[in-house]
Amino acid sequence: MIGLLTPFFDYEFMTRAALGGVALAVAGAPLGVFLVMRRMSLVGDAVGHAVLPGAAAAALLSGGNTLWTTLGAALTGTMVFMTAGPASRALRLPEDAGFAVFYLAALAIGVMIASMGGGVIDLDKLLFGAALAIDNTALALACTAALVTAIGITLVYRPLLIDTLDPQFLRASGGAKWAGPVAQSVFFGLLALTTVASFHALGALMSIGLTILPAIAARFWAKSVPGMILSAASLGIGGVLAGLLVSFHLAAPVGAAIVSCLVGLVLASSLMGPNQSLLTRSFGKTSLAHRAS
Amino acid sequence: MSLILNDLAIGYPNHLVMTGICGTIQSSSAVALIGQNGAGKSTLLRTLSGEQTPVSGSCVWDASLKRHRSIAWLPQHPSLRPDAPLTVRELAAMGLWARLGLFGKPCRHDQERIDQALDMVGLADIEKQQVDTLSGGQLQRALFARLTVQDCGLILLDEPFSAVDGASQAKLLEVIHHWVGEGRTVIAAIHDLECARHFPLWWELSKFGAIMRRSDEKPLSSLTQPMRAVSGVAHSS
Repeated sequence: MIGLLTPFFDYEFMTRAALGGVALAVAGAPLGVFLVMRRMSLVGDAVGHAVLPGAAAAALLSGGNTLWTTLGAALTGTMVFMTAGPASRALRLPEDAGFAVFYLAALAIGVMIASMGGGVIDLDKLLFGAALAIDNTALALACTAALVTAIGITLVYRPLLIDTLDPQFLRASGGAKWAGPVAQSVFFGLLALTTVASFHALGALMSIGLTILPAIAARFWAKSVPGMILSAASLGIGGVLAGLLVSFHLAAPVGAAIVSCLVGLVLASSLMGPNQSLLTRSFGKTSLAHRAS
Repeated sequence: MSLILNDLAIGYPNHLVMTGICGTIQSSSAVALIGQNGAGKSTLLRTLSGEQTPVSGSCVWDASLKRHRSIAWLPQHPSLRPDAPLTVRELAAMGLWARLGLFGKPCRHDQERIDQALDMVGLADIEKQQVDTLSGGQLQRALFARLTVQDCGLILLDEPFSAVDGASQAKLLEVIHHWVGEGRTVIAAIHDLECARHFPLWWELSKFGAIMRRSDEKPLSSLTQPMRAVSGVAHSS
């Protein structure tokens, strides 16, 4: 069993990938829990896809420099996120349809820009990430995302929670009027930062996976929001480490291996988690508690 | 301490719902807002809560006690997510938000206030239960506990009894009477006249205007006479 884990100590690229993955799981946990509670899982996915054109263009112009690619990704990701909602309303499209149009457009444009380089840009890396080839800049970005997200969410936790669970109450409860909009801006800013930071490891197509999937699984482990955040962080860390090991031992693509492990955790949690899983619903809480005792 | 409405017009820029609403509601009153569907009951409550701006005119809540200055509003369909991962106690504690802000810690007095509020609505024994397991009546009682914790001088309720059973309704009416006894003012939009009879004062809205009267006066039908707006001064009795 211990032998399975040795790659993390024997190979520097595995250590870096593990550190980066753990940082991203920590950053993604609170964001994912709030995204799922706000029923915005797919919007997060759309933003993840939308980073591609900027990342591709910046990679093309800078010759694949990590910092420039990150800035390019942040630029188009933010642009799509800021414009998709208002543009959908202006065009009288349902908001989810508007997001679908925008992210498909972003994806298509991104692929075309990447192919313009005549093979200079590694499209696979942009789409699926390269967690095992994570460099210092990308690792620093992941750690920064974890730290800034932890601080940011702590600062706006209360208004963000009320805005998520009962937005009307936050507006009409006599509290500070700025609290709701500020909490939302901080939240979406942190989401953009973490999505861009995840992009290097998991690519445009799966970058949101490390944020959303542990949060979905966490609902089956905890009832309270802080409990869900802790569960999401633990599940995310577990999924990342398992995915890296699967990738190492089976020579599987690393991004896909991580996301597959996270999906496996979601399935296992929904079947056997202690809170509202298929098992607890089938047998009832009392009989399960009885068996445990 | 009173709510003063001065030539208030409510609605939307392209669609006026009511104009010329004048009147004063004294503190420690419980007023039932009655009228047919579309008469403007909910729009008036939304305007009083500050959620919607008046088209013209003004409404002023003049509270003598500083802590009674704020206004609480419970809409007919609150935006609370049905699957919110909160316990009954946590939902009631949400009422402290305006006072505690980002980092304030609830003091012993706040905890006692939550205890009392939960006790008053009869949910003290299930305070640790998740909100998504509550019945409609229990949820409304939990929201009333949150209103109590909010500690506001003016409490606006939109159809508070529409989704609750008889037992819960009786409990909620008890709570309203308790609030009025504490010096708060309650205005509730109510379509069911039987429910409205529990309130000492009625404020009838119709397309002709608004009229304030005591609920033990003449039957409703004899009062719907053409008038643009009538101001009424109400005293709790």
